[in-house]
Amino acid sequence: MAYSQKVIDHYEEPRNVGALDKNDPNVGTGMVGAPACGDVMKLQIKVNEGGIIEDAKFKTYGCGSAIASSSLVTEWLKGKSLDEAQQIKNSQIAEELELPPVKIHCSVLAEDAIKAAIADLKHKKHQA
Amino acid sequence: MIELDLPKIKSLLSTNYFVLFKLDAIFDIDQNILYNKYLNLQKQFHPDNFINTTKELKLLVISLSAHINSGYTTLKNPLSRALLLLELNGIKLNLSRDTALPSSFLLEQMELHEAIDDAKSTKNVFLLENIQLQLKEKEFLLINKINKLFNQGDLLEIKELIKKLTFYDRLNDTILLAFEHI
Repeated sequence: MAYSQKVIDHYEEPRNVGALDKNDPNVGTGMVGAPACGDVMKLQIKVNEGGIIEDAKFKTYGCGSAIASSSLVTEWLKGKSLDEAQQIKNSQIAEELELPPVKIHCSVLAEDAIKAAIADLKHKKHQA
Repeated sequence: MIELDLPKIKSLLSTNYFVLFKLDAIFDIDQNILYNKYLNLQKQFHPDNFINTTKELKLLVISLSAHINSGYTTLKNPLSRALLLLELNGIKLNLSRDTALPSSFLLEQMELHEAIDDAKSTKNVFLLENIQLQLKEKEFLLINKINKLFNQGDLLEIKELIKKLTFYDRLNDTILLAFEHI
């Protein structure tokens, strides 16, 4: 199976690898895993006072498509509101990266990581 | 020279691995018995035993040999053995949309991957062996639990544990790869 040029690009030069302070009240952390293949993905978002995502970081242990999917969404997330971020669908990720059917679950993982990060952030804000 | 006809080989090619290896379809199988049965099957159906037969039969014997190999690999590995048993019981796991796992488990996974990365980049064989040992222990406990559930016939409960086993399986592969890079 051949990876698309876009996947290779993100795989070789992943954007926004790293971590944000998970105890920061403005940081939401989403952690998900793919039981189909054992990939694990951590995605973090940081919002400013206006509720706009100003930073996003990820760390993924998985195949090239999983790394590319998370790298791509960190780029997409910056500048979006939480509502807009919530709208990101795995099909958009798969389309952008030209993922073959057997790798669709990697884009599902990235979508679910976004939702988990948003849920974590909302949970924190609710408690505060 | 073994007398074997085409229909017999064809039927062996389509039997499930437990039947092929003449083993009870249970999770708790003896690895030594499995290995001996594997050697015997490979000896019995070795392509060299079928030199004086038709081309069609020769080709089928080669396929059967491959079928025996993949049967051995499948039955030997606890994860693929568990999945096969569930499938024989009519339970097909579709795990691709199932990404929610306990966060403590995912955190542990992240930490194990990070530790492997560290060991790899510092070329620390001792540390890597240590992680491998830790992982074997965790896997051992998990496999025991799965075995218990199979014995109780609690097939649906097994699903959650099998999800975890996939991650350990993956970590095992990652560790083996890391050893090659040190």
